[in-house]
Amino acid sequence: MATNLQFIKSQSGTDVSTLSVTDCFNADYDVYAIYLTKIDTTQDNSSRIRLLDSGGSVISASEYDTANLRLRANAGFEELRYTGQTYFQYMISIRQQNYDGAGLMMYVFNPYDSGSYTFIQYQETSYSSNYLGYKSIGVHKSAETITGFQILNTAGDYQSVGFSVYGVK
Amino acid sequence: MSNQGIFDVNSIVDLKHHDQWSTLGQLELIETQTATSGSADIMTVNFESIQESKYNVHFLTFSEGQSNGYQYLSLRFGNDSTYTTSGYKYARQQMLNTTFAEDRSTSQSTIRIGSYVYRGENAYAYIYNIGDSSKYTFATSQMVGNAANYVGCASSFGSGVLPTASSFNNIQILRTNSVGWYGFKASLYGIRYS
Repeated sequence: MATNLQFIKSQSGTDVSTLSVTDCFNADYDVYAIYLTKIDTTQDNSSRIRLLDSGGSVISASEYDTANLRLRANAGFEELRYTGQTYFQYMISIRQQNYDGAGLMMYVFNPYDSGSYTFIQYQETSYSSNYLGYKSIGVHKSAETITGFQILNTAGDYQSVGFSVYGVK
Repeated sequence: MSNQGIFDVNSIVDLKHHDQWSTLGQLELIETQTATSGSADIMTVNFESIQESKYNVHFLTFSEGQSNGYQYLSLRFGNDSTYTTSGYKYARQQMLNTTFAEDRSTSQSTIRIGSYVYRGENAYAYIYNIGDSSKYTFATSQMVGNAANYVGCASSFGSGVLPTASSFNNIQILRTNSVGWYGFKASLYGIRYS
């Protein structure tokens, strides 16, 4: 058997305020690796993440906890903690300039297991006012089957945004 | 599960179900470079066929780094064997055997991805958008090694950027000190469909 990253799907959108990556988690894998493939925005913004339930609906209940370490090149680092939120906080911060781009790699653990919470960890790199990066962890505190995720903006639209999802085998 | 060497659709489905159908993965090795114990000091490790138009995300591993002098493991980007030597920004959280510390810079000659060690240097980095001439080139990294002479652990994680909208076709791992490595293994992978 192959022991590797196994491609599941890519999904992208243009001129949207949210992008849902649907049906990317299944019973074949316990761990998933997700890469940001592109991102351009119309305003300075921070992106957040929500999960999709077994029916593909966005979960917007106050069930998300996140802890971020914000790394800055020009100032001291910041610890950010959130409990009982309606999304995972601070996935990406980006300013309104088409040429910046960003990078993100996120692991998702146990999303399809109906008896387990879903855990995430991610490391992000982007450029907003000065250089920013985030090292983050999160938990969705509801034991249920998760089939996908959604990225959403705090302001403006994504001119383009996309992800590729892999199973870790 | 056995079969007669003829794979119809149902056989493939059954083999996949039993985890016996081998498929190519999407973590694709581009190149590995090594130096074994006894090698002369090596100051840089250059990857100069990185298939930047094929992969949007590259994965770089560096392991078993051995040297006789302390230094920071670092990255540079370049084109046709000429590497950019200024303008990098980075931010790293260090976790050392003696203390935790922030390390950051808005004007550096490299993206620093390692702590100040000389033995047992191990790290990985993701590099984003290096082949996209309309985007900045970004990196995230994580590293662990031996502090001092095997007296403790030194680790770090961080992010960096070369804030120039340009494409590059070379990646360089380097030590920013006159003492190089006499041993290491470095591999560059592409993340397919990224």
